[in-house]
Amino acid sequence: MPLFAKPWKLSLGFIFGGILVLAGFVIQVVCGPVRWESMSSPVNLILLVVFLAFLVIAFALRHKVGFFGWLGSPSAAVPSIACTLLMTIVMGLTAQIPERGWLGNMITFWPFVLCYVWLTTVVGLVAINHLLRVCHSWKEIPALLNHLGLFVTLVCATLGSVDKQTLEMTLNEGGVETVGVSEDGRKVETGLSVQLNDFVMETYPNGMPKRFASDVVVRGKSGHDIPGVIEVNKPMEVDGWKMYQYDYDSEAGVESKISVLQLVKDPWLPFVYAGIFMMLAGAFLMMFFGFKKEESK
Amino acid sequence: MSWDSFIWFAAAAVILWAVGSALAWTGKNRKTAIATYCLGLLVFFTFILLMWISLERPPLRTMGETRLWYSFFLAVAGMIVYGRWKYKWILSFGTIMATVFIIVNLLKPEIHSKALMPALQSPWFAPHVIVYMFSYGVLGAATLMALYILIFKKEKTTLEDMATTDNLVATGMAFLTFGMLFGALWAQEAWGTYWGWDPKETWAAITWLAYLLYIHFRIARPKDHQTAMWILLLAFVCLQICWWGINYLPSAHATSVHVY
Repeated sequence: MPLFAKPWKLSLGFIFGGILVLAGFVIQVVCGPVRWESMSSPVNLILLVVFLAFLVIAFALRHKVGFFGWLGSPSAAVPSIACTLLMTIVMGLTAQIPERGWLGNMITFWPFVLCYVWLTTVVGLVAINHLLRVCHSWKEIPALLNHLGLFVTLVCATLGSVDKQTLEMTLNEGGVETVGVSEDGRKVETGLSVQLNDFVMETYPNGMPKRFASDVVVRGKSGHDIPGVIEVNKPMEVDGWKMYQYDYDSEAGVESKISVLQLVKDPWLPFVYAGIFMMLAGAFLMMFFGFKKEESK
Repeated sequence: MSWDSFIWFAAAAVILWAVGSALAWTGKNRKTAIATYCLGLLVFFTFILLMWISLERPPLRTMGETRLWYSFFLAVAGMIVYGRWKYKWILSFGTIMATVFIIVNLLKPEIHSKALMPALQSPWFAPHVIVYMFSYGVLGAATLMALYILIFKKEKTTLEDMATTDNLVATGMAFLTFGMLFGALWAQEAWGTYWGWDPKETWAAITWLAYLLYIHFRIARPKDHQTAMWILLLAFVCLQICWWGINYLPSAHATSVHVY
């Protein structure tokens, strides 16, 4: 009897999960941690195409190859969620400080990453299944939104995080700045010129900060001067850069003449949002329809 | 309105809930039971509203304030289950649970100032926390169902029991998803990172995955009720760590923006 033949036992999935974690461990020892920074565009796009192609092939062969059939079934969903849960608990119990070794940097730890890849694969196969069946039955819609939404969010958030740029820009009152400093300390030309007219800090009577705001004029590609006020929770967007109020001269406090902005460019963000909104819609529908059960089986 | 008057509102609400629960036990005066219990909810919510007005911000900032909502939503969840599925014991349990959190608030109110730091001044703040507290309340009711099924119920578990638990988890999970994703959308507006593996976020993901495990276990092995109920208890432990246990985790203390 072939290994992955129906009825699938849950224990089979847990053995598979164990092997996956072990394999991740071996890769970690041999090759070192996952190097996300080496996957920036176009590598992430190639990975996406390869992954989607694999899912389509696995789905097409689900009746012929027992393993692929299992991979899209609830019997694989349960152990894949359980293994991912376990890895995330490990992350929750260890302080995430990279200097503390492998467990201090879980997002580059192969067993952690492989469990999430497994989960994403299962979610992807289930999403394809619902996608094909939704034409025949509207009852598939909640499950489709939940699975496709999670799939799109996981894939685009992970592959997109590699292309995301985060810069800090330090502004002096009256001065103009065009350069931002990246997380690894590189200086980057942003293509914007930002002038700080005024930095405002207001406090409550007890001295607690109430409001931070930077009154700025930004000139982008268009060449026009765009005035704006950037506050905590109220970013400003020019040429794909979102600008956030990030820091100030905390020693000077209310008198600070310095404002630090954070500039973020995340080209995959619209796709992540699409996934998030699908999940929100799916959750909303789940409230009314519950989840599908087949007690009679 | 101040916390000094909390004890009077709380006492009135608890008495009304207790009377409603007692009426529910007799099984005769269903409508009176519901009406009395709802009156208790109204009294309790009035206090929340008055606090909101006098603080000039939603009372959602501190541990004590979130407990206020939790007590309220536990009682609401008990009401929903009773109204829909008629378990006569659920109102009593809802009342006891809500009272426990009220007592915690009376003994350890954790003083509540008016100040709201800039990061929390966002339209996402209220929905993010209220939705989470409602979810915690409903999932608390699901946990009571699990304890009832595992420990107290002598007869065989019925399909009705399981359907009730599943429906509570479906509702709780929907709101858990809202809470988590509202948080992500808020974080994106506040500092451009919708997900940063902050310890609170990590534990929110853990909680979410644990209830996801329950749902998929129910689909994969619908007849194994016992294991499903144990998963539900495990999930509730994760939820508690996420909500307040995290403040005591050394791993989280070093790095979290969510310690309060």
